[in-house]
Amino acid sequence: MTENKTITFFVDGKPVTAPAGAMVIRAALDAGAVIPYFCYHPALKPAGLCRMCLVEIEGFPKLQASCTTPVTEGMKVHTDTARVEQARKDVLEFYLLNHPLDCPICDKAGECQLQNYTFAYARQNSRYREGEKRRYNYEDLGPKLFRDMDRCVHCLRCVRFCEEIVGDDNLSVFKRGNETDISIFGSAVVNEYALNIAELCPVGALVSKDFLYKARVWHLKKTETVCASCATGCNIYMESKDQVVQRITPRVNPEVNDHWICDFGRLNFKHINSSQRIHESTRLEDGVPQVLEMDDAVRRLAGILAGAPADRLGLLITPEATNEEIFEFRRLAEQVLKCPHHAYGLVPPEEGKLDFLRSRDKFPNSAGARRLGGLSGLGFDGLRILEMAEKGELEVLLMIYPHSVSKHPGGEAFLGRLAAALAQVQTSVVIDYLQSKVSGAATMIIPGLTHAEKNGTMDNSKGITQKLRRAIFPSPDQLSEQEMLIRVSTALVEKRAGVTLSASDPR
Amino acid sequence: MKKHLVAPHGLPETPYRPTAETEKRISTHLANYPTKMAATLPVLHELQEEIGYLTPDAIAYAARVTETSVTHMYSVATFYTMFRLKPVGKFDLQICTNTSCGLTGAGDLVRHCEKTYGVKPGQTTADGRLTLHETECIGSCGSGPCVQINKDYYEWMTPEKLDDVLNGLFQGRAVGRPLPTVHIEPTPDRVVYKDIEKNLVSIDRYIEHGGYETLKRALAMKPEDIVNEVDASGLRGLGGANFPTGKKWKFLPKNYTGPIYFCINADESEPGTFKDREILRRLPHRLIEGAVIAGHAFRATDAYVYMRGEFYEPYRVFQQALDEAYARGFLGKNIAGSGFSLDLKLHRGAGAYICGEETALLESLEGKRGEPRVKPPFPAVQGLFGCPTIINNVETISQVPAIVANGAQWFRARGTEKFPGTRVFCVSGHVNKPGLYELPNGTPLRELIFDWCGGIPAGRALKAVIPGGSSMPVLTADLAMKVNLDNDSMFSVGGSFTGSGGVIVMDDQTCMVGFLARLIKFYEHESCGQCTPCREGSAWARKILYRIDAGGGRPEDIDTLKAIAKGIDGNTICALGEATAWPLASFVRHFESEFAEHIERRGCPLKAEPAGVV
Repeated sequence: MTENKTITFFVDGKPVTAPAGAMVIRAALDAGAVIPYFCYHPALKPAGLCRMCLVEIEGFPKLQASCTTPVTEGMKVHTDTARVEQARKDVLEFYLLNHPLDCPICDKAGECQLQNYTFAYARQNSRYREGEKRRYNYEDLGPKLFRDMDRCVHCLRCVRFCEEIVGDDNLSVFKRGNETDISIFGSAVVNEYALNIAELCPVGALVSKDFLYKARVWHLKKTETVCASCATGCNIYMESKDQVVQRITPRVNPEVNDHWICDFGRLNFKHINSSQRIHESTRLEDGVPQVLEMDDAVRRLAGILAGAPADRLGLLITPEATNEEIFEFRRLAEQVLKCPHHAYGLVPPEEGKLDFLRSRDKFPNSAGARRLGGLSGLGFDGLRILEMAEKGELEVLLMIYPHSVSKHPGGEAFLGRLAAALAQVQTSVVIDYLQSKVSGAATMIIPGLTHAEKNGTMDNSKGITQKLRRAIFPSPDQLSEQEMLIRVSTALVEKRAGVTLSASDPR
Repeated sequence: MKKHLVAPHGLPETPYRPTAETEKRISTHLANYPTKMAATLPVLHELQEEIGYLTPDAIAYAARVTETSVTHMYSVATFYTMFRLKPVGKFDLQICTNTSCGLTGAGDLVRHCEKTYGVKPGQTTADGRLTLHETECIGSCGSGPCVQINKDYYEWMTPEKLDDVLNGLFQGRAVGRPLPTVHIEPTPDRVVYKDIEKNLVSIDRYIEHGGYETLKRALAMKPEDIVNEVDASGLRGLGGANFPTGKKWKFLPKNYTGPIYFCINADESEPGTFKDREILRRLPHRLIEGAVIAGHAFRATDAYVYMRGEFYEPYRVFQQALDEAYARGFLGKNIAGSGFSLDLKLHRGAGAYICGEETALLESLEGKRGEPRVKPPFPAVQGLFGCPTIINNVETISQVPAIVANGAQWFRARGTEKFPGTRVFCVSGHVNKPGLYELPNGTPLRELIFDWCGGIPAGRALKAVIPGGSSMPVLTADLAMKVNLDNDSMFSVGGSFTGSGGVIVMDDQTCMVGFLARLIKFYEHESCGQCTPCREGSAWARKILYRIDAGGGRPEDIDTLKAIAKGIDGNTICALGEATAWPLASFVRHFESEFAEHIERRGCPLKAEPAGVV
């Protein structure tokens, strides 16, 4: 193998440089040529199955599959000759013979390669006069996927993905020829990456059960953001319609997640509209919850924090928070309150990976917490604060994202201990977007934002700082955690100095 | 929405175990290959032999011993037609209804069985005695129609003879043997079939007639010299592609010291071709001798004979010949004291025409579905188990001993400049004397059909000839009278090739639509399904042809058939695309008026029974 060597070849007469050994399709697409394909995928081994990517190469009597032909010095490739166009038309006609043409009810419509190529290359009228098309049964491939083989183009991206990337052969090819059946034998497709298959499928043959019949893809607003399900920080699109997240799809980043995301991350948006969301600020008065306006709640929080001696205060946040939130948290704790008892997690996060993407660390921003919190010499030692609370040494305890302490190893137990410890604390405040045992035991609750609803940055396990972007808007009177912290700090400084720093509402 | 069950075949709780003898044979198979997965086909064969069909627990067992998965096993088992996933009757009657057998009355056999035994193809009689199957070419075209009942071939069948055979089997009577088999013409100057009539099956007889002498001389020669001699002889591959053998051997990487595999392609399944079966069952030692010489020439380290699964008898004969050759030291370690070692193992296919394609053969040998690979890399660079591999046809390798013994010039004395030597032409269909004729390349086709084979029976006229196995373009009678049996003449005059040497002759009562319909059904059945033009195009063409044949043709069908052929030709991974497109295009081109008449009259103008269309 020759490394780092580039060669020059010609695509439709235009000189193009490419790494030696690259396949014609890759080099030509990079150079801006248009080549249709089904089976080619940059992350999978070349297969040469679909025959859509045929191109003319001078010196070869037959058209060549550009996905399996490596470029050579001086090679002359033509992607737009009459012969190539004819071959595309012919091959496409074969694809459409048995295709059900059920685009109106197909989830893939709008992002379907077959649909696009049909508009671009196909004959206007079908010459197929043989009545019945080939029919398969619908098949349930397990909890995640659903198969409609009638739509299949036999590109085998699904099977190849399972084999090459996941290392699992539950999905395979059965029978042969015109009866070829892509299916399972015995075990469902349950691997942790199975939903990537629905996306890899260039047509609607393998569809996600979760997204089935949920939305037309052209109605979806795509937001470039990152996944907050673990420390890997996979790059994703959060796709929403009418301010509701409908699905999450991977965004290619070779540094982080390549073309894939895990199924957990892909489905980690169900909490946004769940019944577990905290929607309004409440405060216990004589054991009865009273609803508060957001502004009032933040003002009261400042009052509570100011009312206790600094060494009787406990402040807890978890690496669920963005860098910006951690920064403001630290300013509040260190500069404003001068409170020695603050931490960014109960215990240090786990390290290492579960498999090729998933991290053992279930927090999205441990690296950021380490970087920003570590400057003060403090860090993941919240257990100390929990123990102080249990011993009744704290008057006030502020907890941001307490539901997420369950992500620590043995986290459920921590959640229980934290909730129980609140009985020993006079005033406990929770800022969180999800209810938990802890919020149930707190004396005041302020609703927070999910990762879909705010902007910010987070550092992944490789230390790459990545942008979180707002995909959907929260309710208008909702403040972000960052704003809450800024307001509390500002209010405390103003009170102490007897001046007004903020001329107007920071919003 | 109908929900399918997740597990179509539930697995039983207690694991299955075959008998001790079967287990022993399975362990022998497992030792035959560098990977356990490669034993997939033999293991499945053994289990099916024991149980009668492949039960889910047998599949699970096979997955365990080959260290693969049930999914792999089921995926492979469903690819090959010989593996049965449901029980079949006590006698599994498989009637070949492909081209040559169809021309000689296979359709009558099927209709007769349907009437007499009350079963349609694919069904089993109520008493479980008989299952009827229509099958694709089983490589016995010159003695058709041919049927296979369980493991045995019955050739030259008529409805009456078939009843006799079946009644005998039902009553437990042995069928009188030997049964008549294919005719082999004692042509002069034979090389491959030399002395075939002298019964040289046993190693002693073969040695008495000078066998293995050349091997001893060849082992003393420098390997390069043998390669050069074969190259100089101009020997061409006789499986179908006619690629020069010496040139193929020279593609192996130079200064390479790792393993080199040698595969002998005995997957003879091209309709109209039946020459290799006779070598395997009647001259096994000539092939073994050729294989060892060739192996020595290009320094092969391991060799396999990939034999089609339906060849039970040739398998048995050839396996015995291998045992004899090992016992006499012509195979194994340090052959005849030369220091050269070669293991030659027998591998059975399981019913897939596509495995005759060399890279599909390699996949199949590795224990996978027989799906052709993308080339390059060519097998000589990266073949079996990722190592350089040479694949040659049975007949090609059987030519090697004589070339090494007598020299390239001797070989070149016959045949043509570009296609020297003799080869076996398999003549089937409508001739008076169908059979095997070893003749020099370049022999006029007219001479073969009219002089050697005695012309067309019943005083009928010649209508068409497929000159090189069913994949080659068809010739009209006019063209057939002009061409010689070498590729230069065949291509420049007839637009066809000599291919595998299978010559299928059709008389003037043959319906071209019906014949082509049956032929394209074969290619549809045998498409591996990987690439779209072949998978979809063959099925589409078959549907149109059957519709025309049944009287439902439309005027635009002819153009559509031509377009389908064009859409397949050159656009597929392997040559099966051309194998479908060439006959399709050539039949429609040469016999367009007959197709048009068929469409116009809404049926066959000849009032012929559809050829093999059942």
